[in-house]
This record gives sequence, C-alpha cells and structure tokens, in this order.
Amino acid sequence: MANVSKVLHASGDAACFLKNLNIADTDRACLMEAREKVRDCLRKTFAALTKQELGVTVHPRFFTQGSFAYRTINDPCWTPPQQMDLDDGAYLPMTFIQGVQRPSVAATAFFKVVDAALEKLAKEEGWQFGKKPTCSRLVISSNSHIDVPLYAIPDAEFEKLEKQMKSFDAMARDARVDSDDRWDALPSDCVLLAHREHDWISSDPRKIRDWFVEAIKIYGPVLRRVCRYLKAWRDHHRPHLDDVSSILLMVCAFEACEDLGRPNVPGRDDLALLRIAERLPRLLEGPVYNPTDRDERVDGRLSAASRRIAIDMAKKFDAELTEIVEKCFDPEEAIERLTALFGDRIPDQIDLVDVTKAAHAEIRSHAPRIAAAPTVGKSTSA
Amino acid sequence: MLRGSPPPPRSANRPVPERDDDSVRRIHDAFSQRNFRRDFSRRGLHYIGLLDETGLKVPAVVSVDDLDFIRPPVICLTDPEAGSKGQVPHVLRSDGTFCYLDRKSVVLDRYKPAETIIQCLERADQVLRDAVRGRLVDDLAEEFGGYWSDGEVLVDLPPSFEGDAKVHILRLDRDPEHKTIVVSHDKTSFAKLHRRNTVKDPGPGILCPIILVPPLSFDPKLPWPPKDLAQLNGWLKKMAPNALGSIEAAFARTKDLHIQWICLSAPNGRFFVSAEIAKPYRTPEFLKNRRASIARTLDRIPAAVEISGYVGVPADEGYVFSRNLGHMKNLAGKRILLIGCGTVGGFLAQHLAQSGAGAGGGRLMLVDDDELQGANLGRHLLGAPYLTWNKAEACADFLGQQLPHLDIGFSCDSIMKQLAILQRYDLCIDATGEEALSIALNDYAVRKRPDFPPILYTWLEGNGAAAVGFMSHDPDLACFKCLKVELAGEKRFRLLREGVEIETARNLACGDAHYIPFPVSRAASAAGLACDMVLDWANNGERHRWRSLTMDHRTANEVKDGNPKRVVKCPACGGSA
Repeated sequence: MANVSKVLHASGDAACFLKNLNIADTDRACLMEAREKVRDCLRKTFAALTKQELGVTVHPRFFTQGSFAYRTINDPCWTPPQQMDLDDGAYLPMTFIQGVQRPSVAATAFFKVVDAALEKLAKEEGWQFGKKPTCSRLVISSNSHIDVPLYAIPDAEFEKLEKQMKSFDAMARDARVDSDDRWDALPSDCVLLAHREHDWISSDPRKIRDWFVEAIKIYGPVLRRVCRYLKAWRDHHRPHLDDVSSILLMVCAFEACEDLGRPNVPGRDDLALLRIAERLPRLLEGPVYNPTDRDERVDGRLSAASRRIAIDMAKKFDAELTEIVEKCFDPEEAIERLTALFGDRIPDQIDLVDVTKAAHAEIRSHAPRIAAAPTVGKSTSA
Repeated sequence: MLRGSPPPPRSANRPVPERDDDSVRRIHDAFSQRNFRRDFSRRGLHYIGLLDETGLKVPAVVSVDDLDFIRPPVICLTDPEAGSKGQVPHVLRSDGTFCYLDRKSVVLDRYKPAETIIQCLERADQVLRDAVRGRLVDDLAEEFGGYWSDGEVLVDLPPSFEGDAKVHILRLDRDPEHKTIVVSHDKTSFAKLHRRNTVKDPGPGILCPIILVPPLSFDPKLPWPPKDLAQLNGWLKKMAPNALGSIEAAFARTKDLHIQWICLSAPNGRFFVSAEIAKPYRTPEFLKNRRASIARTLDRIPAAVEISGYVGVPADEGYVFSRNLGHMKNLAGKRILLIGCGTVGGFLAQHLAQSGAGAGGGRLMLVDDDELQGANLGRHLLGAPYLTWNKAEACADFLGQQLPHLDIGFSCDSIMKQLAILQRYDLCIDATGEEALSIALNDYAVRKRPDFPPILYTWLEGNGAAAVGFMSHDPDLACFKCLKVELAGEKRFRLLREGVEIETARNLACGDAHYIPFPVSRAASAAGLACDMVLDWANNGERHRWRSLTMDHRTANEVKDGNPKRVVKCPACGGSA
C-alpha cells in the first residue's frame, strides 16, 4: 500500500503534482494583460457605437468564467495543440440590442461588430483571431487563448449590475481587491448568449459557477483538487479523451462525492481520487445531468464511440490507481505508475511516497445516523 | 509552545468561528440521509426529495433560508395531491406551502442544524400521514380562514351573535387613505374614532345578516375560492345549506345598493362574503324597479354577481380584554376610580384599560387636577399632543382612542373636593404618591367603613428604588396609616437601606418645581405591580395586601410580601376598631 497523497498535493514549498499543474506566473500575467486589452478594445468599440446609434454611451461589463473562475485551470499538458483557455464574457443591456424582452437584433449583427474590432486588435498585437459558434477567439500565444462570449441581459438587470459594480468598485479601491468578478451582482435569469448559428440562446454561466462554489463549500477544497487531477489525467491521454469536457469531469466528481456521502469522502487526496475514480466508469455511462438544470445533459457532446473509449480508459485509471494505492509497496514503482497515469509532471521524488504507514487497514467510516432533534416548546414570550 | 505545556486558555472574547459553512455541510448530510438532493438551479439552499418516502412518497422542495432556524425551513409540496385523496390540510392554496410546524410554539436548535432538518422532515412526514389518514380533517376546518381570503374585517360583535349586523367603512386613524371595514350590531364603538378623524358620523352601514352555520371546509378539487354567486351557491349547498339564498334575500331587502354582505358564522371562524353586481347589470331597471324580484333574477344570472371573501377578526370587547388573561377574569363590569394620572397613574390607567376596566358596563374614572408639562414628557404615558391638557382628561382621551370600547371618565378636580364619589366605585386606587393625600384618603375611608370600597395605594420609594402596592379594606388588617403610625417615625417596612439619601431636584429656570428623579422604567414597574394587585382583587385572590418590588438593590432591601395586621395605636383606625 502506498500513500501517494503527498505526491499529488502538499502544502508549503514542497514539490507536488498539483503545483506542477499550476500555470506559470508569467503566463498568468500575460493572459491578464491580454484580457485587459480585449476589454479595453470592446469598451471603446461599444462606447462609440452606442453613442452614435443611441445617443448614450453603454459600457459593457465583463465576467471571467470557466476554469479561471472555478480556479481549476491547469497548465496544458501537450502544447501544441492544448492551450490554456480564459473565458471572458461581455455583457450588454438588452435595449442596446433593441428589444425589451428579447433582443430583436440578430446575434450575427452583434458578432459582426465584435469580430471586426477584435480582428483589428489581433492584427495590432500579433495575435490570431478565430470564430467559434458562441464566441470570438484570440490566440495570444502558442499555449493560450482568450474566448469572448457575448451576453445580453434585461436593462433593469444591467442597471442594477452597473450600480452594484460601481459601489463595489468604490469598495474595492479601499480594500485593494480585484473587482473584476463581482458575480453576485449578475442577474441569474434571463441571460441570453449570442450564438452564430442559433441567434440568441438562454445560457447562464453563473449558475454553474455558483454550483461549483457551493459544492466546494460542502466537500471542501479536495473536490477542486480532484477535479484538477481528473483534468490532468484527461489532458495527458490526448487525443483519446479530448471529447470528455471539464464540466463533465467536475460533475462526475461531485456526483461521486454525493454517492459516497460527505463523511465518507476521504481527507487524503489519493484516497479521495481513488473513491471517485471507482465511480467514474459507471458515471460516464451516463446520463450525467447539469446540476443546475436537470433537463440538460453535460455528457451530451460525447459520441457513442468517445464514450466507450472514455469508459474504458476510466476503468483502467481506476484499476491502476487501486494497484498503486492499495497494493504497491515500492515507492519507485508507485512514482513510475503515477507518471504513466498523469504524465511527467508527477514529481520524481520517492520520498514523497509513504509505504510504511500505509499498511494500516483503512477503516471505512460510516456516517453516524443523524437523529431528529427533540421537539422543544417555546417557554418565553414576546 | 513547549511540549506538554497546557493549551493556552481560551479567551472569552475570541472571535466566534464562522458557523454558516459548517451548517451548510451538516444540513447537506442530513438531507443526503433522507435522499434529498440539493437543487442547484436556484440560489440558496433548496433540496428536492420525497416526504414519507417509504409510504406516501409526496414530492417536496425544502428551502432552508434561515440558518439560525428562527424561521423553520419552508416545505412546498410540488404535487399536493400525491398520495392523498384530495384534501390535504396544512397546504396553503397559493403555492403548495406545507404548514407542518407552528413556529409560534416550537423553538428549533440552530446549533444542531442536521438534527433540526431531520426533526422538521420527520414532523412533516407525520403531519402528512395524519392528514391523509383523515386524522386532520378538523385541521382543514381550523385553517379554513387561510384559504378563504386575504382580506380581513374587524368584527365588533359577541361571538354568539345571530341576525342583522351592519358593515361600516371607517377611518380609525388620520390617514384618509386608510379605511377599515368594521362589522357591528347597530352602533360600534369604533365609530367614535371615525367621528374623531373625519368630523362626520359614519353612514348607516350596509346590511349584513349573520348566519350561524356548521364548521366550514372545502373540497380542494373544486374551483376555490368561489368567484361568483354560482360557485358560492354550489359550495354553500354542500357546506351550509341553511345559508343558501341568503345573498339574494339580502339584496331583496335593501334598496339601491349594488353591493351586499353576509356573514357565515361557523364554529371555526366568521367568514364574510361581499357580493357585488357586475357593472353591466347595474341599471336602475335591475337595481330598483325589479328589486323585489331580484332574487329570482339573480338566480338566472348567477355569474353576474362577483364574490369576495373576508375573514372576520374579532375586535369585540370580550375578546380584546380576555385574550391575554388565560383563565383569569378581566376587569369588565367593574367600577374603578384611579386618583392620580402622573407617571405611575398614567401607565396604570393604560394597564387597567387593557385589562378591561371600563368594559362590559363597568367604568374607569380618572381623577387628577394637574396639567401635563414639558417636564413630564420624559416619563409619562402621554406626549407632546397633550401638553397643557389636564392629565386625567388627556389620559381618558388617549385611551379612548386606543380602546374605543371602554367607558372612561375623568375629573379635573382634586379628589378632596369630591370625596363623596369614592363610595360609588368598586375599587379606588391612589397612585398620587403624595403621602399627605393618601393619609387623608385613608382617614376618610376608615371612617366610612364598612360602606367603603377597598383602596389600593401605590407609590415608589427613594429614587425609584422600590415600588409598593398596598390594598386596604379589612378592618382587622392594617390601614394605610398603620404602615407608619408617626409621620416622622420609622416605617413599618423599611425598604430603603440605612443612610440612603433621596436625591431631589429643582429646575427653577425651567419652571420645574421640586421633584424626585427616577427613570420611566421604575414608574412602569410600579404600575405593573399595582395592575397585578387589581387583577388579583378582581379574581378574588388578593393574597398579600402589601407587596413590593425592589428595583435598585444598592439602595433598597428586599422585603417579603405580607398581610400586615392593624396597629392598635394607629391614629386612623386604632380607635374605630
């Protein structure tokens, strides 16, 4: 038995897999700088456009979403083709798009403006510009890109957002905190996403983000770390697992925790990963629902063939991890096998593997049954 | 820290750890145990699952919006009829909110969030099972008011009233927009307020027959609540056949009006129906010429009459003045004279009024010859609107507005000029705190025995260090003078500690003569003590005639309550006994 939790995650300065997955500070700075340039460009574009069309200046609002917001971003494993991805949503009030309940201007018209502006910016900066169905993409380096999806929200909501952002901006100046992502100010209903082919579609990135924040609140940061291990595992096994989306892995990890019950989710990262890996093949068989919308499936994009491969790989992942954690007594072998699973960002340090203490039988805890609190009548009066 | 050294002491003012996240985790565990799943499609803590999951399997959403559990989790049945045969009491009709716990009677434990969730779910299971097994059929009737309407009317009628009452639209305050519907027989005491606020008499009122009916309930499968006469009659046929046709009959009895009221007075509440003839039918032909046959006409076009429901809220004096007394009797029917409407007397007048003094043919008489001044505002019942008013008149006026049911009189003269009136009352109270006046009253009372009512004296000692109430009536027991036989001598009950000096004050510049400073709270406590003694008197449980309340233990001792005996050498009662 090998306790490899320190290989995966260690606090302080000690080397570990998770630290090796972190993106470099220079890369992060570079992405942030590029994000600011993109935001500036769009602010100017919309200011000019709205001034001309409406007589008032509308400032779009931006919210970073995706792995950057969830703090589950990993440094890409194979570059190229894998790239870090920063999703920065741009939000505009609905009337700017000339509708009260729904935009009356086609999303394509909206994209036209954004595409033109960003294409020009890309030329100036030496970036590559690309179009995706729901966003404009700026490839800023060989290993990173920024996606800009466009959203429309009702005016009243936009005004509320503006107001709250302003007061928060003022607060943030005092507190010196980043005011970019003031998510709770964002309305949660009636958010529409511009789509190149399907015009406007209902889509609210905040719900997923809220779900993840709440899930971490329940299961602790180990859930976030497990999500990153699973993403690293997927990235390492390209191209076989390319169709397995990050959100699918995150929901699977969450569902596995739900299945285990919170008191049974191990505190050790390797065991927590193993418990989740055990459930992964079955979960990947589907269906996997969006936790914020049970009508939507997050495994919908998986083709039958990809799914078969994913299930197969997950079974192997589980078997291999079981071998390492439960049967391996040789630290060197443990590191070797982990490297095969996750790639060479597994630190090559056998001293991080503990095989002595691991021999203790694992006692599976059972959640104590919660009994109802006794009924206590009121004895005080108002 | 050295190994083996004891842990540092926990500081009393250490920050209290953030409990919300931990509560959220424990709440999640509890719901998981019951196979409820968190609903992440909405913000906040919402869990979806089945109540009574092994039996009725009723789908529900449980929302925990208060981690302090001051409000219990809200349970909504997503399919209120699942598992039942229609009638599920405790389900509010609007949104399926399930009423499983009376938050007024149960206190939930915020430190045991998981156990509390299980407790609530088990309780909900039980209520649901009982409901479906018909054990709660009475509950539906009990809660009928919750399903009947959102509007309310004040009912100033005795509970058993049957026959013709009147509906009045009154203004009980100065706000011209704020109108209240009051139902009464003939004249209501609330009309006084309307007159005061509008300087007009209220109109004659609209006829509202009160019809006694059996307990009311409804079938949730039928359209509810009834919106027109046809639906109302359909329901009445089943629930209260004796009230069928009473709307039509009421229309036939009144002239001109296109609106009519009836009241279904059931053991589970009084439910009012206002029926309004729809606009297109409000023609003179319909409303006047064919008034006599209107019942028959309405019968043909029942949908032309729109129905609204109101729930009656009791506001009659029996209810108002008995509600808070439990098994105790209130002061209704008693004739009570209160001398002194200063700070103690003012609060006492209010306490007595709220206990029913002046109701039910009784009378509350207030006597004071002093005026309310700026100096009084800091510790008097009344405020600026009554400045320069006589205190007795002002208190009577104020209480008359608050509780229009009561007969409250006042006299602006000194009681010493009208001693003869004392004997007309069942109880006299001296709340003047003026020793000389109390001695004089006591002397008069003792002389007139046995044809004299009991007198209750109440006052504060020191700077409000203690309050005293003393009831004198029984010739074998002490009279007021027996408590201190020599004016300059020792008191029989020494409340004030030795050497305590009474602080007095005087603000000549403010025209404020000699007075004793003490906070308003002490006066209110003295009034409370006295009111308790009055209620005991009314309930024939006089117990201790001498009672005290020590409020400042630095300056006053605690003295046991008791029934002090007469003193032979008392100059007031000694000779007469």
